[in-house]
Amino acid sequence: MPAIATLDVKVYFPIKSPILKRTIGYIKAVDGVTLDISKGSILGLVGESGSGKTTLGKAITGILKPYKGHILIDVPKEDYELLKELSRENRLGRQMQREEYRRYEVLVKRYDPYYMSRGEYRRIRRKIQMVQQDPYGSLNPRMKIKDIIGEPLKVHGIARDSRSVYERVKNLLEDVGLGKEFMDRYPYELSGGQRQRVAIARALALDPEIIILDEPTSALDVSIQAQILRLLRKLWREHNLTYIFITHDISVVRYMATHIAVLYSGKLMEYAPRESFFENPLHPYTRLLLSAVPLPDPRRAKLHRFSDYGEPPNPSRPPIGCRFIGRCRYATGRCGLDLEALSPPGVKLIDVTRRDDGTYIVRVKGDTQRLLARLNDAGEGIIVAARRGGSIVVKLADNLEPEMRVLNGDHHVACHYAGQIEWREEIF
Amino acid sequence: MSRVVLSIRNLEVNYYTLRGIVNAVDNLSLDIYEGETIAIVGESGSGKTTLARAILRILPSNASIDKGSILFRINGSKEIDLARATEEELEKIRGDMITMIFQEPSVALSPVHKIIVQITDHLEKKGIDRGKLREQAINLMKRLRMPNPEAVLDMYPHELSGGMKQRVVIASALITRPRIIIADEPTTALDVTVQAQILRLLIELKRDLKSTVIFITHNLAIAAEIADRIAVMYAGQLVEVADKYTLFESPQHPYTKGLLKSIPKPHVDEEIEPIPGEPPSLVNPPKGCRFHPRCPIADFVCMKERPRLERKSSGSLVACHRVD
Repeated sequence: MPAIATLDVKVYFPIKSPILKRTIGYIKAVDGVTLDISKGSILGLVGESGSGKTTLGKAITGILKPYKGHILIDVPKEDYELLKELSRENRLGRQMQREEYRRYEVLVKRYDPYYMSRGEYRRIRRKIQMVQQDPYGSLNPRMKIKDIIGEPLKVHGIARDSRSVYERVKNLLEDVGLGKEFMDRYPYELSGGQRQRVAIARALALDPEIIILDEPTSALDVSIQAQILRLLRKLWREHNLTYIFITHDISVVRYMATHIAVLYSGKLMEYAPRESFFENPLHPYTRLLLSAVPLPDPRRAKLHRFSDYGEPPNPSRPPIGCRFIGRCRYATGRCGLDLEALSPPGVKLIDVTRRDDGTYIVRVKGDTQRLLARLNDAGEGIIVAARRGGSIVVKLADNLEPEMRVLNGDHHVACHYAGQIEWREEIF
Repeated sequence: MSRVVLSIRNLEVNYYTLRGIVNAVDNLSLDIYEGETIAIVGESGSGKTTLARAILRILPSNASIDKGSILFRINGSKEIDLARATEEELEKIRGDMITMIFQEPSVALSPVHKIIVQITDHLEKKGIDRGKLREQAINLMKRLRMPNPEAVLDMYPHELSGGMKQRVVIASALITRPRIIIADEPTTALDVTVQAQILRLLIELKRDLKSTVIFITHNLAIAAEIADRIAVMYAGQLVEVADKYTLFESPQHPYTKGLLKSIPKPHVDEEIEPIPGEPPSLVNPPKGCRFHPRCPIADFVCMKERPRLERKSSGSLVACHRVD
């Protein structure tokens, strides 16, 4: 059974107009992510800045509410599969039958903590804790260490009298390798590594099942990072925890994770068990990411053969279809449409909206005619592009966006050509 | 081996703070050769950035170079001690002969000036023709594979992405064809795919300009990728200097060994071994070898006597009593 699962989760942040504060668009930080984390595993969530990995982590913890989609806790495999199927068909444009919709709703309400009663919600939320990246900002500077760790115990009524709080805090400090002499200190007296240990102890205080670790070691030096990684591994084993480990560091993920998910521009690109992921990465973006990582071995220097692949897309106007299209060396016309890249100089994209009939309205400033001409030459993805008022209406081929597919047992990849590409670059 | 372009001798840099005197660089000697890329590797507080800033004399106001010299060979016979040079003399060297690329491109660029001004400002003051400068800037931007270079020159920094900004910073550092480029963690703020591009471009340009590069980094993998030699710093001292192959294949100093064992590797499955303890405070650093409290092979000599950096049987320069 998955410890936690996401169902087509979207987290959007509205962009407001400067004066009237009307919503004029959205930053699509996470744009439809479905994945499940089985109990006792460590999911490494990797991606570059702006990929949505931290936002997704926050949505899973409950700090951020998804704009659409659901976080599901303790959902049995068959119910999750059914929900995925229903939501997939819905996404492809088929309306759910009334009966199907009822079932969907019943199931979602059963497993999504958002619909639960207050007491139930608190009980569930206790099971999920988060450790933040910055050990300097995440601890209250005016509280002693014993109060920082003891606070959740009191709030949740686990240890009421000061004697039992003291005992519990002492044990927690021991768990993270700190002596009881740290109890009466303040955060400023601690080094970065020690603070991160305190943050971990606080997360452990409520006996959670799942801990979300958001770049827990990236502010630390390598010799300290190694200590914290080893500690996290030890705690994982001893407390039967499930981790979601958010990081941009591929080597940390290789060391820590049992499963790896790659996010790019708010979309899940690849999701696989660790061995399969590193032995045979199947998404062109994953390959690009791995080929860019320098190796601590001078005999294997490789950046001299690294080519220029540009930068991630603008999150408010991502490409239609596969998000990676603008940087992919294997992309074809079928993969989608990168309006930003197609726009000639002097044409400024304002926004792109999808209408219910599947066409897109593209609002532009400047020479609309030139963009239109380019669109009509852009290839098999575009069926019609026509002018309407100040905008362009584009009708695209169906299914430009690659569906998540499963290959070799448990290797998920969202690419039209997954498994068929002859790779032209080496990764390590 | 080629000639020494920069010779640092017995350098000591201290910060005068309310908590006491922080000895950030302690009796450091290092020769840097013409045309090489040397990586200065160390953790935070190791003194690597202080060393870089001392060379250009751009230390914060509470820091001072209290001992030692930094001899810079300007040309065939003329030498200048940067540690003692006057502001006037330094003005001729900074930005022209020695330039620095900073870590955070958004801080290094002025938000209110166009890109062209930021790249060419320094040369324009010397009376070089504007049209010519623009042409040079465009050429350099093309070499840095900046998309749409002519349009970019008339933009402001906020209109550019992080990777593009760092290209502008590099362009403004390299347009004067400097003899020495000091790069202080120039890719730390960037994503790996952008980092790979920037590192590659930097090395290509360096080769064309025949400049010397001093590359400050905490990342051993980056050092392995771009450096010829690697110098490892710990708590304000140089502990080991070797060519990169020797350093990775037969590290000598216990700290270097510990560092190599504590990094997880992206390409193989390997257990990591942390170095126990934490780096010391530099207000009151340990006596003798500064690494001895964390060192697995330290003995009583290490607690008393400070090891000198000397050439050991492996050919590396190592500061350790316990290495032959």
